[in-house]
Amino acid sequence: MILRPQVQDIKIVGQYSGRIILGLGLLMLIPLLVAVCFGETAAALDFVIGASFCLSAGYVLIILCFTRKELTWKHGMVVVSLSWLLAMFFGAIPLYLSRHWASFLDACFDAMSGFATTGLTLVQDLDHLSHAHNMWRHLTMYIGGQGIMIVALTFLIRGAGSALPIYIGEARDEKVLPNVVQTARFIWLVSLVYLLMGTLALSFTAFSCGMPGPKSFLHGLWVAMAAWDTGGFAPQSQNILYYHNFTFELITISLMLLGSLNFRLHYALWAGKRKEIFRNIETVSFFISAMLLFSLTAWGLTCGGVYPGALSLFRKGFYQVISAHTGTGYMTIHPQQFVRHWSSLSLMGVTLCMAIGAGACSTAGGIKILRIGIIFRTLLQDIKRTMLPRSAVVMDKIHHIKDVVLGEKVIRQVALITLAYIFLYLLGTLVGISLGYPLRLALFESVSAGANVGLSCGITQPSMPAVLKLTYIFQMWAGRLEFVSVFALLGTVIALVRGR
Amino acid sequence: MKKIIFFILILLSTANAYAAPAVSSEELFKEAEKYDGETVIYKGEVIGDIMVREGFAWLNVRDKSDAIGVFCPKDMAGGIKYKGGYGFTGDTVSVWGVFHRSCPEHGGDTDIHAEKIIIIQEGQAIYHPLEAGKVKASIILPAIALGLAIIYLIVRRFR
Repeated sequence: MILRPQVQDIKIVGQYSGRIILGLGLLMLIPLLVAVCFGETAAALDFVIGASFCLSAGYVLIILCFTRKELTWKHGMVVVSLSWLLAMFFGAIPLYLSRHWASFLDACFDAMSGFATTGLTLVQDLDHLSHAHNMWRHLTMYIGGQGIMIVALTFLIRGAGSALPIYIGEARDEKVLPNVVQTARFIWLVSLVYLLMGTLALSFTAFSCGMPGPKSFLHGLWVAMAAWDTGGFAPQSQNILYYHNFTFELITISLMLLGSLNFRLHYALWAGKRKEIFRNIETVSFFISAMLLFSLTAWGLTCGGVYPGALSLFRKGFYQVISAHTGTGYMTIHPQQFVRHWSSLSLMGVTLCMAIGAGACSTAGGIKILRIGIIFRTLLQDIKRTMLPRSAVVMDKIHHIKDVVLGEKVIRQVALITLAYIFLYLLGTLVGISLGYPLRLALFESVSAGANVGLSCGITQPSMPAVLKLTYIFQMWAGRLEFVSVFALLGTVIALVRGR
Repeated sequence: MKKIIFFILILLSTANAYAAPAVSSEELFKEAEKYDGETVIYKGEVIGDIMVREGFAWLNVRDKSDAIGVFCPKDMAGGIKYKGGYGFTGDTVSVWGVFHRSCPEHGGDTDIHAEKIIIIQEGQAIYHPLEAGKVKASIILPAIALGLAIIYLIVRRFR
């Protein structure tokens, strides 16, 4: 028998969701400030409307659902998945008002893409977009990368009891510090330090390569935000290719790699345990995987004679591989070059990079390299078992900050999430194929959406069918939250309709 | 006489090149192998900034479907006044130069090494009018938000 949620349950969910919307409204004051500073009056109005709408809706929810009860595990999961949908809806308002998005659905697509740090975009005429709207696009990535709920845990929600379910619900199953609120604050500290370093390095590079002062700072800030958060939005339509600068590309590679590291690994490195980077299953697996898949991609590119030398192969092939593997989606080639110039082998290499992803408990998406590492270790363990006597006991350990014994429960969890991702990738591919796109392109774009990468082979355009836009929105949402909280929300909806 | 014929031939070939129809970015990507290393004419709006580096400059020129990087001597880009952005429509230029599918000099970038840049149409400031509906909403909605904030404070105090 399914139990229908009670009024009190709905009130708790409404109360916390209201606070998230309130927070979103306050964040819109940042692009509003940018609009004022740069004299973008029309853009400023979009953010006055957007922020006021968020604040009003937030207060209405908080007043109507006023309660002092704390979140339980079940509520936390629902709050997380619902808040992400609400953030998409409210975050899309200023984007839509700018008239650079053809429909509200397109604006929602970009808002979800931003919050989920995907980077796929349906913006029209990006090169003439205001600084304020660009700031908002990149801010959504910066908030979404750390996690909307991490922002809430740091600034809006008090009480450790409420913290754990919403922390876990946002696809962070590893705590850096014993206390979740402390963990959230550490995540912010790391993110702000790297944002500062990245902004300085990129701004200086942009300035030295001929961009004017204030603009080089803004571009540095935006690209640093999206690179660290493995997002992939850029202020110009040519993405990173716009800058025509090798140093700029190297800095973004460094930021993408840093953003793809597990926050627990960051903590270990900050604590002086530098050897951890050479021993951790995630970094070792990432290195092996990136090298193997780059070899595959490079082979395809070399056979096709696409790039003239080693430097070109690095700036085009290696860059795209790292961008895909870290889940960023920054590009140093034009989207149609994937289709027209790259061979199927190279495209497959990049698709696999996207599907695998990077560190768990990082800003990256995808299956996650930790899970791939565990699957391979389990496979090796099973092969070993077949060679040993039946009575032999085989214990396998992995090194992830500390030595961890691989138990049945861990392996089952890993297998389930991996399977869910494969189904998610297949869903988008099937929808793409049914709408007439070729298999390899439909697979590429679907994996890019589901793994929150953002590389595009050209399918993602304002003219693509609405069904595909909705499918990609679902993929970005479910992929970012790693399914559990999404299932919790779907379960609650079913319980509301069919429960007693 | 030979010199005059040679001069006329040069003039004719140049004139031919200028008279040739402009190639779109879509065509350049579609037929990249065909145009690779060839002299092309590409037309579009200058977007973003002109990035000057050691006597040369990079500019990005966008037509209907995509933007392509144009590499040229610094002085050649000197006449470009407006660069496309939020506040301006950039100058529309006609770039006459060599197209590279993967430029060996610039790390495999797809670019055009310009030999001549002509400004076809000067850019202009973009006027962003304040829509009456948006202005009204910008007054009404903050007032509603403020009212709700006060109600919230009262509710929190008495419950």
